[in-house]
Amino acid sequence: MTAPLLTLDNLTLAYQTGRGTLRALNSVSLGVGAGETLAVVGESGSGKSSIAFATMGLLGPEAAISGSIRFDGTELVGLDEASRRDLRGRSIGMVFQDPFTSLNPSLRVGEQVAEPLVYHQGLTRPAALERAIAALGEVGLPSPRELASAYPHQLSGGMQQRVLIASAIVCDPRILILDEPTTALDVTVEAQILDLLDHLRRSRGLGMLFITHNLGVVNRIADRVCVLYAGQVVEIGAKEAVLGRSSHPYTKGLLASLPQLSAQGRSQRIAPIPGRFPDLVDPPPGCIFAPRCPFAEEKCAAPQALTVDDTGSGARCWKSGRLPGWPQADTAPRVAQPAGAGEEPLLRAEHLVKRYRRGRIGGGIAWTRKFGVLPWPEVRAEIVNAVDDISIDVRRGETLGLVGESGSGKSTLGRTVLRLIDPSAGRLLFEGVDVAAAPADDLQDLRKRAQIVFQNPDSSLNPRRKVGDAIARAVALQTNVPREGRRAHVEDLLDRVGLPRSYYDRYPHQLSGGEKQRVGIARALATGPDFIVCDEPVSALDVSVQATVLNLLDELRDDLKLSYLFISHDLSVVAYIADRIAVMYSGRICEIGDAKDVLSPPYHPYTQALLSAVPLATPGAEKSERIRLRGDRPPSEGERSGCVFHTRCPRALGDICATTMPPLQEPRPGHRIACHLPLDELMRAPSALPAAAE
Amino acid sequence: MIGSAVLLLLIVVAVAAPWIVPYRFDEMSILNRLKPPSLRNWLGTDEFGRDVFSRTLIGARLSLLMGFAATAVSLAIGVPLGLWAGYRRGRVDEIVMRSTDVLLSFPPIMLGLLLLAVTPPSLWKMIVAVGIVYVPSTVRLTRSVTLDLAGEEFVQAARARGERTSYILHAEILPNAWPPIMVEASLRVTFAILLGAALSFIGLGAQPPSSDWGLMIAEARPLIDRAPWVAIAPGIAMGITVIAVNLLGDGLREALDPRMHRKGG
Amino acid sequence: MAIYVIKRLLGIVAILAVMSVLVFAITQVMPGNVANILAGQFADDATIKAIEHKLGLDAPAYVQYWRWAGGVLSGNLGNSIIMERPVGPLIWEAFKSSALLAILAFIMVAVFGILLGVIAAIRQNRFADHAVSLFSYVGVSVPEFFWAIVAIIVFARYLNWLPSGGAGNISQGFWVWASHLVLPVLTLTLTLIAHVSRLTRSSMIETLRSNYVRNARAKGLPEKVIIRRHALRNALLPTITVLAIDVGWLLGNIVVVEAVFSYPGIGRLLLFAIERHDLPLIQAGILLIAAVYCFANLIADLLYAYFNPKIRYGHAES
Repeated sequence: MTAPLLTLDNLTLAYQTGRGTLRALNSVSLGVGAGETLAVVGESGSGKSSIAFATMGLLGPEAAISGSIRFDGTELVGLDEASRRDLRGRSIGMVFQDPFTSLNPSLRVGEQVAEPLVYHQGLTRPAALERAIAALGEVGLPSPRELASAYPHQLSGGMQQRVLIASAIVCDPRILILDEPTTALDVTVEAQILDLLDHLRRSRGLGMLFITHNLGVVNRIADRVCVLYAGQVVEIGAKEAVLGRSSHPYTKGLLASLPQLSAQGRSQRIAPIPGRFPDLVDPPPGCIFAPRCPFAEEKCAAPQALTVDDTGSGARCWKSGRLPGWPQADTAPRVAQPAGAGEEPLLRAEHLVKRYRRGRIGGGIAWTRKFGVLPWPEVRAEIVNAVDDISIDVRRGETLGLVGESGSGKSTLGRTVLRLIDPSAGRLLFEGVDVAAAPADDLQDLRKRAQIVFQNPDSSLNPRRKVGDAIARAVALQTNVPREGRRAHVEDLLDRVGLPRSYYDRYPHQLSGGEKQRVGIARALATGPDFIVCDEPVSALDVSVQATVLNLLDELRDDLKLSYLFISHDLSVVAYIADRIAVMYSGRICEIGDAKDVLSPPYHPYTQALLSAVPLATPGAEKSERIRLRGDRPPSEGERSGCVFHTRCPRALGDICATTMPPLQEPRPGHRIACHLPLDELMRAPSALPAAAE
Repeated sequence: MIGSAVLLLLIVVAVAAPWIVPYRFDEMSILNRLKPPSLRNWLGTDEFGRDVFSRTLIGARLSLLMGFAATAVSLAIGVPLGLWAGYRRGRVDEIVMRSTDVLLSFPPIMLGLLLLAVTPPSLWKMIVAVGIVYVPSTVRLTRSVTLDLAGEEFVQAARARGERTSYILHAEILPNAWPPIMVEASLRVTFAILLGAALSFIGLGAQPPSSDWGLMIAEARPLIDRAPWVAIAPGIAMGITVIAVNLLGDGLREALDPRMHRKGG
Repeated sequence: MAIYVIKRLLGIVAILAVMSVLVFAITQVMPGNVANILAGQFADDATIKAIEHKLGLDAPAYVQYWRWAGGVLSGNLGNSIIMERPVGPLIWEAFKSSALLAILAFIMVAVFGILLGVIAAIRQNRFADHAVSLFSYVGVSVPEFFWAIVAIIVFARYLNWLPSGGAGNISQGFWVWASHLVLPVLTLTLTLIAHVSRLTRSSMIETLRSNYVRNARAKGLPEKVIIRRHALRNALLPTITVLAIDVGWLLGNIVVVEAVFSYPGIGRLLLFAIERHDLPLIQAGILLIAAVYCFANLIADLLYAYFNPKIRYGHAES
């Protein structure tokens, strides 16, 4: 191991709050060498981003830092602002999470990449611009010279992130700090960016401090891993050791909480980490993880030390190395779903279409003639085909998983089948009754029997209303539970979703994200529905919380005989919970079928690319062959003839894909693929998944 | 905090004014014309020998009434229209928005002038006129807040359980729309006080012998050489009132701004 | 862009048309018959009828509107009933005087408002910030006519530096001409500057908290460059809209300020007309002010579009 370029030694970061001192970081020690990637992984509240900000010197004056941050022999803690500024951008570069807001909207991309050169290396603007254009080329942007004069909003998210990376490396820094650089991006774009970062590290010998919550990304990019929990390093070491033979209970728990991306692993429930994240103002006295640890015993009541051996690995647990695997979930095993074939589906959408018009200001005005003669200006509207001729069935008691990237129209579809959005065309049969065009007053039966669980825990509950009242309102409206019995009924529902009955009188801001999501589920259950649309219900949650919510949804379905339309961008989650999977791209469904059929060849080329892009946390998985898509934009209006995927498809045949609608091929009954490639050609694709991990 | 304390004091004074003032506001005294401030007349007397202090206190009633009542008028008309336009969208929205466009094309005081020029001036007409002047901006704000809230998931959840539109508007959207509307309304109270005073000042609002501050300043204008106190007292009183409402508005803004909360947590 | 401008111009024409109907309708129901006023208190019905007929006031309202609108379109704004002179030149003279006042005040407001706002934002919660905010509070809380009177008391009566009202003629020498403008411009500026400086401050503070400013800091740029290149440009975009709103306030305040300073502008003319129920003068005056305001808004929108690349360049999807 090379001598570390960047060393954090006993770094502690404290804030004064009204209730006392909050320790965001507590004695964190780690090092990053040249050409090495250290991943810092942790859930929200772990303090992982604070490490980045402390190192960059971007924390406000209210943060009290103690300990040491050394870069190449220079102590950064307490260094004067001018010297720190000189290091920023020149020796230490940083890439932020959100590319959409991290670029200045009113400066050209080229200038933004070039400006550090002007101030750090004293280059003239034209010379700096030349170097910036070279850097834009290096990060894989096509025609960088033209692109340099574009404004950020003209670029896609993936391109914006490349620009940010270019501006971080343009001064040849030796260390690059990345704060969740791919979290805001789609999985196929994430894969491209990770490739780029790996390439840059190799070609420039960059040391990278990579901050993320995603263990799969860690596996793809890191050499070494540092696991952070509640401001403390709980485990550190080589990637293979931490992910493959983890020695701290928390790491074990995190890995066990991940849904496995394989059709075979479905018989088991995932085993979550119980309990709640500790209060950082008043943390538990001993081992910080002890209250949630299944292996905890008396000795854990004492503070734990992080013992690092000479290979640089270690865990903050006196029992590390002697622990068994994470215990299995103690909930009931999953029941196999009855095949509902032949029976009438609960919900059937036929040729459903939802088109939006999006008006555009400036430039986009066309002249038409009104009354045949009068010239008349009209804002040229852009037609967005959010849902473009989609037909799906949801059978009784089954979960149909709907997977797609952002902008694919999956949420619109989910809301359209509930008539929260009125469809533009097509039929929508709920138990055989067409509700697609029914007047709002005739929808009460649908409203009672079909419900929805939302993605965002913060926006899904009315902040000014008690949790219990929100649920009670649905009970009052759609059931005949008498007024006196409503409170008890709501408390039963809270019980059902695993919340204390006393939560009836709480307000949403007093709840954690996972708890709010449980309230959302209870509210959906309150009308006594048969069918629930789950619109990204776990996407905003941390891994360990996600697992408990997934388990809850799974149990409820089995116990209450519910049907789900489960929408997610995360293929692992869908693979875990769904009986059948539909893959959506740009408003159309490209593949649909039983989960195990969709997850194994023959694949639609898009499914194949999605599967191969998902970063898996299993060591070794990162080395498998990966498919990369061209570009990162959905097709424009003019490119929608033929197959909507042809603009990015790595296996496109040529003109036919761009002009003719692909036929529906059915390799097995119920498994349909919309593609021009012949079936045996599709069949020849290798499995995109590694053999099922135990 | 200071803002609400001062405002509270002003309101108490305004309400109690008829009982606490040393003289009746229209009590004339020919012998005591244009006397400078003294122990007998704390703020002096005007050209009819009326006590400036008493008139200024009574004026607080009119000014505060003007500010709050006109704002209430603009809220009463503007909020329902804005909610309706923002939630229903489409044609309703188009008609409401185009109408506000037309009204917004008048500078505020012009609209007030025009409305007041129609009929002989009176306090109530002035309140309604000033209220109407601020309807378009209330509509716009309410509409944009409603547009945002209508997309929130808890509103979608209410629709999914089959709530009526009227319930969604008053129970789900309105309680969450109030904070920004109230902050804006507090600003509008100050605009209304100032606009009302300006209309009275140019002779289209309160009429003599009323003790409206704007009117008092107008009446004192020819006398500023000899008796500046007659103009200065109501001017300063108005300044204090408006500053108090402004402070209250800023306090509201800070208390209701979600960003401030997150920072504190 | 050109097409956008044309579209907006058509919109303004439509608004002015609607407004002309509105103004006409309101002036029609105004109490106090002009004929009565002209004829004097003791005139008999026949005299009043005769005057009404002479002025065309006995025709149905829509005919009167049509005559008037037709006149406006052909550049004939009618005759002032009271002054018995064509409205056009009368209003034009007053408009020129008012425009001078308004433009000077607007420049002062824009320059000093933005400057104070930016300073307050950069020195957030320090002395300069508090000083600016105290100044804004006082400025915005006292009505313009009171400032005008205070200014007259101090500068005209007590110090005797400046004239207390009226307008000077450039032929009397530059100083005489300019000295008449100082107090009205100062008064107008004082009441409007707070609005601009406060909004500039909050927009600047928000921009300084944005992710792209954080990113610029991470690139190690000097704070001066961050403020000038990254923050200012984006923070001033909303200020453009605020300045357009201020034109509306300015046009309103000018009426009052002209009245106090006896400045022969369009505001004073309009008040005079309203007092005397001089319909043609009222109609023309209000329409002119509304038109100025519409164009100010158009210019603001165009500037906003010009400085905002998101509008200028549209999206690149297609």
